[in-house]
Formats: sequence, structure tokens, C-alpha cells
Amino acid sequence: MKITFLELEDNYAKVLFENTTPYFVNAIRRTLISDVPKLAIENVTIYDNTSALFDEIIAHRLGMIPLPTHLDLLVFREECSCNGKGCPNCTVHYTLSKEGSCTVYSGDLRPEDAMWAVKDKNIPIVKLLKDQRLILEAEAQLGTGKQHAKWQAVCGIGYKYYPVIEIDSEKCNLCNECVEICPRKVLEIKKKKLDVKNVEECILCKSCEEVCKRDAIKVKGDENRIIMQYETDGSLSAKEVLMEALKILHKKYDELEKKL
Amino acid sequence: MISYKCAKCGKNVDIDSERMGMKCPHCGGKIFYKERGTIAKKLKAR
Repeated sequence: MKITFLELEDNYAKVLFENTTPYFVNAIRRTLISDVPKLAIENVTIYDNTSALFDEIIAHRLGMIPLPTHLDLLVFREECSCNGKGCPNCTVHYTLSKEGSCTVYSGDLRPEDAMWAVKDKNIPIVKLLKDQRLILEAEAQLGTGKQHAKWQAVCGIGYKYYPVIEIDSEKCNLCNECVEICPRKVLEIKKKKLDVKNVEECILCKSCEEVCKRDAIKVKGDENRIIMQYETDGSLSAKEVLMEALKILHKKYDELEKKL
Repeated sequence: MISYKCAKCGKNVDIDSERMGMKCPHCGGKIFYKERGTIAKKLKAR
């Protein structure tokens, strides 16, 4: 199997898998969603809250904030040597203290160390009026998407077959209908010939195939080449998250092999 | 006896919940807020 990054940004990746099967790529997709660990706020101690929102709603909003995750520095709380009590190896502490009138943002969460500072500083938590206060402490710990959506590092993940567009230029009369109907603008007429501009953009909707009266276009998907794209919520980078998923999958196959 | 905060004058008023009807002895207001306790509240962020 060959893996190529077609596009790679901090929080977004488009990956091409070659010589593979849909089953295998789906296993990677499911691992990315439910098994890759990330940091999220789990325990909140509220000392004062005179805002308009209930304590529970504020706690829930805090839980959903993406926190930067350094997987090499943290272990799961259940597996930690502290026996689940919470120690620097498994828990990250945050404090928040604000008095109105203002809006409390995710950036107001103060971590114990600057490396854990929230990256997206402009997520609103609650609006405070004059004399309203919010004072709390929060504990963040590792978890997986299986347990709760707040521990899901990846979002908007999907995959498709690699599109193969075959054009029969003898049948084509350059009517331009397929070029116009394509939602991704994949086709173009160049030098009096119908041509494919950017094949990877094709979503295999087959609109061009249906609109063509002369059957000049055939759109197929190559089952052995698969394009997968996903975003991360910012807690892990797109590359880190894939490497971690592959490690986890590898470990699972190893365990299966040992048990057989 | 539970302490409530009067919505009209803002003073803390001790009111016997057994008795029918509530009225602020300072201003006569009839709307009260239940004040938040001073105990830290532990919650799960879910």
C-alpha cells in the first residue's frame, strides 16, 4: 500500500491510498473517529456562577473546547500509576475567574503551563452582565471518541474511490452540456476537445454521464485507489492524528494475531 | 429558616418556609431570589 498526502494543512488533509481496499480504509476511518485519544475537560468544580447559564451548561460548553494534546506527555487516567486519582501524568488543570460585564471566552481558561493554552481563544462560553461572576477550576484528561464526542479529534471525515473519467472523443460533439452541469467543474473544452481538468475533484455524481445524449462520457471509481479527506478540531495536527490512528490499528492487528 | 434575596431592595431576608406568603420586612417586596450556596459544585463536563 502506498500513502500520499494530496493536500496537507495543519487541520486538514487529503490522502490518497493506492493498492488498497475500501475495507481497509474504512478501518482507518473508524479508528480516526473513535480510537485516537485527545485531551478534553472532564471534571469541573464551580465556585461561583451568577451568570444566566446553569452550572451544567457551562461545564458542558467547557468540555467541548478543543485543547492542545501532547500524546507523548500524557496517559489515560485509568491506566495511570496514580490509580485514577489524577496526577500531572494524566491530568491538566485549568482555572477561570471572570467578572462582568464581559464575555467569557475559551482563551480566559488559564492552564498550569503555557504549553496547554487553548489554541482557539475566541470560543464564547457565557456572557456576563455587570456584577455577575464566574469562578471555576477544570480538569482535563485523555479520552476517545467512543466515550464522548468531546474526545473526537477528527471531524468531517469521508472517503471515495479515485475517479476515472473516460471520454470517447469520436462520439463527443462538444455540446458543452457536461461542462456546465458538473458541480465541481471537472471538465473543460480545450483546443476543440473535451478534457478533464482536475480529476481528483470529481465526486462521482455521474451528472455528466446522464446529460450526455451520445454516451461519450463514462465515469467510474477505481476500487484500489481511495481518496480520504478529514479535518481535525485543532487538538492534534492532521498528520499526527493519522500516524496515531495507524499505530493503534497496528497494535490491534498484532493483538489479534497473538490471540489466534 | 432560609435566607432569600429581595428583588426590590436587594437585602437578605430570613423567611420561614413553613408560613404562607412571603413579604420583605424592609420594603414589602414579594419577589425573592434564592441565593447560591457557598459550597463548590463538582460536575462532569458531559
